[in-house]
Amino acid sequence: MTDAPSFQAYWCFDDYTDLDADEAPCVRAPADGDWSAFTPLLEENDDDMGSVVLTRGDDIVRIDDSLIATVQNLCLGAIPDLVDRNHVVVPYFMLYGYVRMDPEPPDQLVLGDEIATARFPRAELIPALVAIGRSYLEYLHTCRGDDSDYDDVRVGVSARLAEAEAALDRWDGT
Amino acid sequence: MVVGATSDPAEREADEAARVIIARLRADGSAPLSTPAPGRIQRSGFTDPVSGAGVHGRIQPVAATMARRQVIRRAFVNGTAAKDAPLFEKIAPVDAAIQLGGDSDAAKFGITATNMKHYLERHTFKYQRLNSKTIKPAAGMFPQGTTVDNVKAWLVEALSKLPETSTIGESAVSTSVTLSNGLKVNLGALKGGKLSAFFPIEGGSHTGYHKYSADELKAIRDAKNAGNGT
Repeated sequence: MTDAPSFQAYWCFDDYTDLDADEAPCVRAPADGDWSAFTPLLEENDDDMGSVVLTRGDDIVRIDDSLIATVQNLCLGAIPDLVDRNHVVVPYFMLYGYVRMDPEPPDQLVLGDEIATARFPRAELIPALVAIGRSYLEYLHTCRGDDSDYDDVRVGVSARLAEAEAALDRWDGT
Repeated sequence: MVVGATSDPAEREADEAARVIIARLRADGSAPLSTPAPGRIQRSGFTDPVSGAGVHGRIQPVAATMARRQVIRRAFVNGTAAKDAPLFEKIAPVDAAIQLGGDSDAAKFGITATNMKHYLERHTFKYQRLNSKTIKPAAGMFPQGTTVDNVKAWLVEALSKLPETSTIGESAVSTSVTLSNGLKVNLGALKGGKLSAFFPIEGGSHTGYHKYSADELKAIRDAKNAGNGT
């Protein structure tokens, strides 16, 4: 008997410092609060293009878009509906299409335009999405704190994070 | 479902891609849902072409065939990356910022700035740079021959058609309007009142609209770098 593959969720930030690269590397958000690797990337990526990545075993869902939109609308804005076991449809921002999330307790089906289809355990997925929101807000304060263009983003992410955490508080975890 | 023979190179290519997938699944019926499909197949719309509706862990030949039909409508303009490469001129976007300060249609939505460089280098054949910043994610393209002045005019028209209740200047959710030429465009602001996104999302064949996946744009970039369409 083998262990079930573990679920992981994280976000990463596109590195456009080498425009001749085959593909822009996506630099993973740090878990230890050291954002120094992001500093040289900020100027060339002021729309915060990047990915939210959900994985379990061979299943990989990679949502590529502006993180400003993905974090606010999907990682945080969708949480109250996910907790209530409602279907969620979230539009992309920098391209036309949608990501859909259907409750299939104990799993959550994730599918949509430009991504693979996969099922992830709700008990792990939902808190992980909120954790991404929390991490992104830390990034906004640490890396974009001096940029007034991001004032409304910080306000928006903070407000949605509060709503998402309130939803988590009333959730029974199923 | 029987897939008939065709003389269309693009359709033959799509047929072959579908056959490869189906053959692989017949040989190994346990392909996981997340198995990456070839780029052209993978981005065939809302229904996952690999998994098939409601079927976990298996590729269904019928679903793959249906996906192939969808892909044909959205694939390369001229059938292959090499043939599309000459459509891209890779001209550096000019400094074409639009001054919107006095434009009441923009101001009433809280839009204070545009990003014309981005609209041009992501969504026009003439200015798409085909570099690591512009080939991802998927991109809806304005018609071939689109100029800077066209984009400016369409943006002004789009702003004039937004409903009074639109919140595009305040929310990271884009909204869409249809232009008088039939192109449906998305527009939206991410931060600081700057209109980050303005691109076409739909249009009949008469509009010249086309959508490329990231994989297709990469293939065109590679073909261009290999000397095609220089």
